[in-house]
Amino acid sequence: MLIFSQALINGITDGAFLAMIALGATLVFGVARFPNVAHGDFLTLAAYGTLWATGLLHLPLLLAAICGIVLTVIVGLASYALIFRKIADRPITCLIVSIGLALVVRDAILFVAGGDAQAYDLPVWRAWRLGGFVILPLDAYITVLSAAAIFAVHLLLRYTRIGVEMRAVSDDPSLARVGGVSPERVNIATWSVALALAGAAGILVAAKTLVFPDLGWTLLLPALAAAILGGLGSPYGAILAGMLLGLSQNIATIWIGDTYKDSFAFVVLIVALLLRPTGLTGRLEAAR
Amino acid sequence: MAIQAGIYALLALSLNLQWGYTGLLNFGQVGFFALGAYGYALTTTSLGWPPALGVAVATLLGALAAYPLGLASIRLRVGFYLAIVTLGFGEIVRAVLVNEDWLTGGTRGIPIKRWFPALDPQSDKLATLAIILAALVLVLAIFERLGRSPFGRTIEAIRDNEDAARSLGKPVAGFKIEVFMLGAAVAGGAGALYAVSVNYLVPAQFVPLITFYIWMAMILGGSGSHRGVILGTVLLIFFLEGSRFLHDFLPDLPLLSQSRLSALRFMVVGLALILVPMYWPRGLWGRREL
Repeated sequence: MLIFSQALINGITDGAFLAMIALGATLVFGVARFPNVAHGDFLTLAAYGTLWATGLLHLPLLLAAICGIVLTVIVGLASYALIFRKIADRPITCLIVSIGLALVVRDAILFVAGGDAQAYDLPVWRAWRLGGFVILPLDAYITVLSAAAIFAVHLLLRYTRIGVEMRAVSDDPSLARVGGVSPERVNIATWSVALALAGAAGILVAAKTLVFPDLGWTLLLPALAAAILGGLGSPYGAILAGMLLGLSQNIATIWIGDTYKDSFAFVVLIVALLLRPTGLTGRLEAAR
Repeated sequence: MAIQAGIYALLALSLNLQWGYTGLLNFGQVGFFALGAYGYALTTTSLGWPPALGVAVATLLGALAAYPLGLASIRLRVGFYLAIVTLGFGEIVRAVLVNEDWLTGGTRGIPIKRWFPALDPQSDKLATLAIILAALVLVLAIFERLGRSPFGRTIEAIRDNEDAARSLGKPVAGFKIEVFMLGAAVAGGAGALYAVSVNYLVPAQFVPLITFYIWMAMILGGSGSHRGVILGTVLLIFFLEGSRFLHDFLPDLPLLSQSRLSALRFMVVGLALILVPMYWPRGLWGRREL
């Protein structure tokens, strides 16, 4: 029972991470029409940016985290302006190019910081005991922050003009343009939101585990699996699928061992694609 | 170096059949390669089968693994599903290789018997190289032939206009799955040759980077063209080996340690993957744009 409850708690944290990452990737897919393989390495960039801000500028962690996110948004928007905007009409080229970008970002980090894992200087909190559960306060804070980030994106998509425009472009780009939506503005807004989400997720993951060069890459694949399960381009599908995958991965580790955690997401994905090609929410996005 | 070039050329040709001719996005080339290598290793060392049978098993394993992946994602219209599923497949294969050490030796690895133990190591290497080059010529001949056959024209038609091909009554998904399996079979066979040529297998040889190298070779040489792809592979090997030698000539600066140089090398590969498709979609010798 203890193992199960622990898996449940880990599953909620992992699910929140995957939901954040998948949400960012699916938002970009919605407007740019390609799965961005470099999305994972933006997580890593934010984690290192935060580390550098604490180490070099001696900023407190919270302020450093903001620096890390800003750095990620700047680099990511630069990649959009210099690369993806120019080949926006060739989504498959975008996909291949994003792999190149992923290599460049990851190895630039490796070049600067080296391959050793590092950790943030976090205070140590005493674990909470609630009934049979042992909850680490750090996990709780991380989960609350992740949920808050996702909720903020929900509010943005639902209640702001730019959010409505983002959903409109994602649903039907030409119709949105006829309706007077500027594609450039929407693109920049969407990339910014997705990058900020990726940055926040990277820092939270690093706070829970460590800062290392493959941090984003290892999470990218299960997150992309979640984005597909949710139906590529569908934000709420991505959140739901991310949570479900995070939970099921961790519950499955009771039987299959920790090292297969990420592979499990893919087995689920392949089985799901065989049975129900349109994803959880059943949008007719791309399937036929 | 020539052995490595021959094996990479086989991988690049198989990817070119899938992407250059048919438009299938396979980012799991390394997974089929690894399956072939380990399939060969296990049948020839643990079961003691003859090498020829081992190569056949490796080829078959590649094709068999491709079937469910293709079935799951090729029926979907957007090629990205296959891209992500294959990317994940490569990582799953590596996870299995690391974890199931009762079968694969885990990170300790498996030693592979040489093909010509009677010869001294140098001649053994040359004989192995000759076999690899023969395999390359064979695959090239088959693919050239295939490219001119009705099958070849159909898959190119599917790549250029899927709806038109479908409206002419071509079973588009069936053709794509066949091509995917054929390419994966070649990658599996290349894995068997690789296993013999390196004499020792560990999971760390099968990182996703291999897939990206192959993509770079294909794009640089020009997708859709066999000659171009082989040229691209040769250039890739020259670059990889050349940059390794560079370290011996450079003074020992702390700024350029071994790990930094390798990071730099991967950055160049990444930059090539960004710039070539953007500004030079035909590559050096290609027949079609990306």
